[in-house]
Amino acid sequence: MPSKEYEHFKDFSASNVPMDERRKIWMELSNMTKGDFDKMFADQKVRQQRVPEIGQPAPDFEAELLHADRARSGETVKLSDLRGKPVALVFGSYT
Amino acid sequence: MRQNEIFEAYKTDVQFFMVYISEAHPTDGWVTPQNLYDEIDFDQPADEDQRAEVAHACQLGMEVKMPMLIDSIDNDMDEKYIAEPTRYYVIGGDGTLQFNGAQGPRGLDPDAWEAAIKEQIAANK
Repeated sequence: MPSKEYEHFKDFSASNVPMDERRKIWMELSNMTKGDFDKMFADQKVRQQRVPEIGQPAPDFEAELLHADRARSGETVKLSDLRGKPVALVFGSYT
Repeated sequence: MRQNEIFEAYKTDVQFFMVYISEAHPTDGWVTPQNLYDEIDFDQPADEDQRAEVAHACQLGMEVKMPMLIDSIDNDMDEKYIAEPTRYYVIGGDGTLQFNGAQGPRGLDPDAWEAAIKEQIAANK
């Protein structure tokens, strides 16, 4: 249900608000300083240099599967057990 | 949702997973105007039970059709795949990385992801 209180933010993501202005709004809404944002963006930039490379073995992982009808399944998926069929991953969160 | 269309189209030939990682814009972190408008309001999960709870809300709210994996609370998968806030990957049947999408959300390219998926299906036959 969209918020009436924040109706003015309805199209913010798709708008052309300049970056300086965006950052000002983010700072007003978040409990974060300009220094916090500067550090976060700088860290992100450095981090991107560690993206796994095409042609290399994909990093192995073992993670818990979430079932649609309950929060935890206890069942895990291990990448190295999935050989023989391609694997497509999309990483993300809700917010 | 484009991801659901791609999942439905290729799910018999490819193993799809959405990996739920740490929240990009939690209420106790970097708050965004769009989330305030949409009333998407979650603190950063502090343990794996909380993470699973928000992942479940995400699965329902975003109508995620593909199986979901929950990253560990120490962000093991995000650390290995440098995935935050969102990113696509395709891994070949032999375990080799075949596609690493650009950092989202601006860099997300579902068409490129789909093309890589089709390429791997063809290579796997």
